[in-house]
Amino acid sequence: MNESVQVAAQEADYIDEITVMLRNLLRQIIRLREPSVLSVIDEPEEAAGIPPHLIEHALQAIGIWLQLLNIAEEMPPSAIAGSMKSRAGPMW
Amino acid sequence: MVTGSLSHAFSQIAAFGVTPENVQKALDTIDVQPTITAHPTEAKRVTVLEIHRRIYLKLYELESPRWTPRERKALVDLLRNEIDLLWMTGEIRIEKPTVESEISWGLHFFREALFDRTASLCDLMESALQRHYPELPSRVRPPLKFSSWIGGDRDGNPFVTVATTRNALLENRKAAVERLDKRLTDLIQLISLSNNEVNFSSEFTARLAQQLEASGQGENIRQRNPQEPFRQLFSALRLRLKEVPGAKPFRDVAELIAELSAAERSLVEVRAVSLAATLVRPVRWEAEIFGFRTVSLDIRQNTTVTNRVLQEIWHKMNPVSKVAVPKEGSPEWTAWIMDELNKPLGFLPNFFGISEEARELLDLLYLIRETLDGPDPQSIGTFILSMTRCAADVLGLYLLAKYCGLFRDDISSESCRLRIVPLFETIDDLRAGPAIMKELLATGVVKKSVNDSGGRQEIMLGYSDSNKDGGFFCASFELFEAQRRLLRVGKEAGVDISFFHGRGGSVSRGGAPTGRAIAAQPAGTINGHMRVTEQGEVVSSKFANRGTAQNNLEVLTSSVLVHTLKSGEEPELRLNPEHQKAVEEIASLSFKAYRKLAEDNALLGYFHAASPVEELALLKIGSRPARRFGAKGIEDLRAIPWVFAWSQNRHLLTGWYGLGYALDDFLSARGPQGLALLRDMFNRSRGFRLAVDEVEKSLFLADMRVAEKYAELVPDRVDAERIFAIISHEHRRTSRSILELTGEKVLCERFQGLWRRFERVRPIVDRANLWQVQLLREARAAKGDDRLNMPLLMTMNCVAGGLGWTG
Repeated sequence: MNESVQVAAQEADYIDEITVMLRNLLRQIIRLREPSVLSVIDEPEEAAGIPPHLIEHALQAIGIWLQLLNIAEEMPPSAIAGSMKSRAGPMW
Repeated sequence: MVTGSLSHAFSQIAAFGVTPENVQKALDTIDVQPTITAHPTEAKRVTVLEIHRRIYLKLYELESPRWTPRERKALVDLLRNEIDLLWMTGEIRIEKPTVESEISWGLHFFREALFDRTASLCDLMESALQRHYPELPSRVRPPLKFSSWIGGDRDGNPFVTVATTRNALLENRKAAVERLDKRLTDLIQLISLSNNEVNFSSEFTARLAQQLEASGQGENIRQRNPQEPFRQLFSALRLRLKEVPGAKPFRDVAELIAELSAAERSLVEVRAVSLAATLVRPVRWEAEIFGFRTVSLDIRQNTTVTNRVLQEIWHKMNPVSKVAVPKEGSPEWTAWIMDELNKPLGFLPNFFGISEEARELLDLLYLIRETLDGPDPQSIGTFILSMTRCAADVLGLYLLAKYCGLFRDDISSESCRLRIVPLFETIDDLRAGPAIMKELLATGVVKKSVNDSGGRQEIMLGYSDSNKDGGFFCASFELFEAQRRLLRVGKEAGVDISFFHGRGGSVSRGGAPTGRAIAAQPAGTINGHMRVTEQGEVVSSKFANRGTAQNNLEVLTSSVLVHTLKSGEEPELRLNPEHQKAVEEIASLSFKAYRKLAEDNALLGYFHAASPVEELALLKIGSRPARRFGAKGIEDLRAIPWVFAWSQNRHLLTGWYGLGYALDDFLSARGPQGLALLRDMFNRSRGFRLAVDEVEKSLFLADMRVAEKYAELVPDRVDAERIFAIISHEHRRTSRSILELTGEKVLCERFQGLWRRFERVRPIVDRANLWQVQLLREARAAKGDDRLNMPLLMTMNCVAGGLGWTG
């Protein structure tokens, strides 16, 4: 496996790991704040049935989920670059 | 080795056989300038950005293996709190931001990340250089500086006035001085070397005495830190920096930098090499990079305004003339401007009884003069002239600068201190650019002004308008061609040309990945100098967090270095006549297909009804009005909402439309040999490959099933079905052509990162799209019902966030 493929695979694993944790935390918050819109995160295809007065909350859940995913995706380049640099020693 | 890192860059350069002399030459002149603009797709409030930053930091902390299970749980609880705060805070802006809030927004990124990380980039550079070119001295000068448009860009934004520009300059200065003050305070705390333990040179002692004298509080400082000369020195510098009463302010930034350099030397003399390198040197770098200004503030104005003001002045100067004012761009107009430029000026003219617009522009030029005479002349950047259509547009601004005392020479007829940068935005303007520049560089006053300002003429290229004008592929081609031709014009005139790339975050606005976009630029066009806009949402995604900021700055700098030192010899950038001819043909066909759609009488109606462009104005994302006054046709629409709305409705045609037709037509004329040629170009021409890659990504993010739902919003069903059929047919055709060319089975097979990311969010983005259609229908039916605005705006944020693609 060449280095860039290896880095990409590491990144993907890293994002998956963080994403699972963030998703669980978000689900806990949705359960606390507006449990009726949980389906928009769990099964978005089925969320068409969410009643109109709850659409705003469902969008709020989507919005936060996307923000969290973006943060998770922002992590790897710096985190992986950091870890590779520290593994390779101070001359990197 | 990490791709995009400086170490990787130097290893590539060394492997390519670049000599140490050439590397040194590049390091001595490299000048990379990210330019921050507020434009105007950034919808995130600073409060939300701060929550994001805390989440990022907590995730980072969780990476550490040192936590006990209890500590870890506590961190996760804090993370949950932040998500709860996001829920209760709300992402959408309620009020439209003011220019003042945009200025604070821009400075937020410096305070949080950029002050810190830009200086540490120099450290990375020195280490990488030492490793790959040990024979070179390891001291580097900072390769990066920042510019900003926030508070200086008045093109189409009536809220940016001379007062706001003055305020932006003050706020930028305040941020830089606060930062240096903090850094000097750190040095006072840390560098506690004592006279009793170390002997200092007489040169240092003399400098210290001078600084104590200049601080106005020498005796107090001596008493507070007896026998601690470095603490005394930094205390004195701090008082001068803060301009406390009695202290002699620094004449200029160079004076502070000289004192910091001297402090480094003195530490080295007493063998405290590491203290000099790790404590004082980073502060010196910060002073070199950010000065007393944080950023160089660019000014931007449209030629329609500068010409109107000049015409008004013509009337003032010819009050009883029976001859009408010459038409802008006419030979008579140019002759009058040249005549005025050549005339010696004994004193500066005063213009009374002029319009508010003229007063504003002249006062702006006076403010620029005042700033250029101040302690950090770099506080003012360049004057960017939008919609430059002819040489007289630029010469007219030279003349206005002359009237406002911005010339260097006593008689004001030789050399202008204001650096004027023409902006070429449309396809026509890009094509006309080389002739305009040729005329300008043949004009004595321009040539002398450029030479006196360092011998370099900057030219700005607009990616968004050229895309709206000619479609993605054609615009990409024209932008490359314009650079090549402008470079030739510069060479003939004996002037270095550098380019300022006005790009946005999305594909249609030139937002390809930094490293690849730079590597694909035509050979020799960067040559160590590159300015690039970092707009709105791109600023937060690149610079909100320190790790990411450093990573992005490193990629930008290393890509510029590699291009500078390698591009002249790289086969992938060499102009291949056969490839060139083919690309030209494809660009021309693509332009034809795109224009046919753009000029379709029904397209504007379709666009307005089948996208949220009208409702976009509700999204409080920038101080600049979203549309030009009295806009009627596509030409009058601003490029940013054009791109934004086409992405919201998942057509995304601004990122791909035209290429499918062009490739089909090209292949039907050339047959299998044509396909072989295209594949050869795809494999060997970096520019062509980049364009194909970006088209493919746009095709992948577009979704004709979702787009069709938007088409159903168009009242004229015949037109709607016809236009949608044209677009969806082109989408199919372009996808097929791309797959044939790349040899993939499905779109984006080659871009696993994007593929994985988007497939993860596709269902929720589709859901947000479907609700958007439903809400648009309801909102339009119930005109004036504000209750639907918030959910509608939330759908826009969701779709933009999901696509990672706003405008």
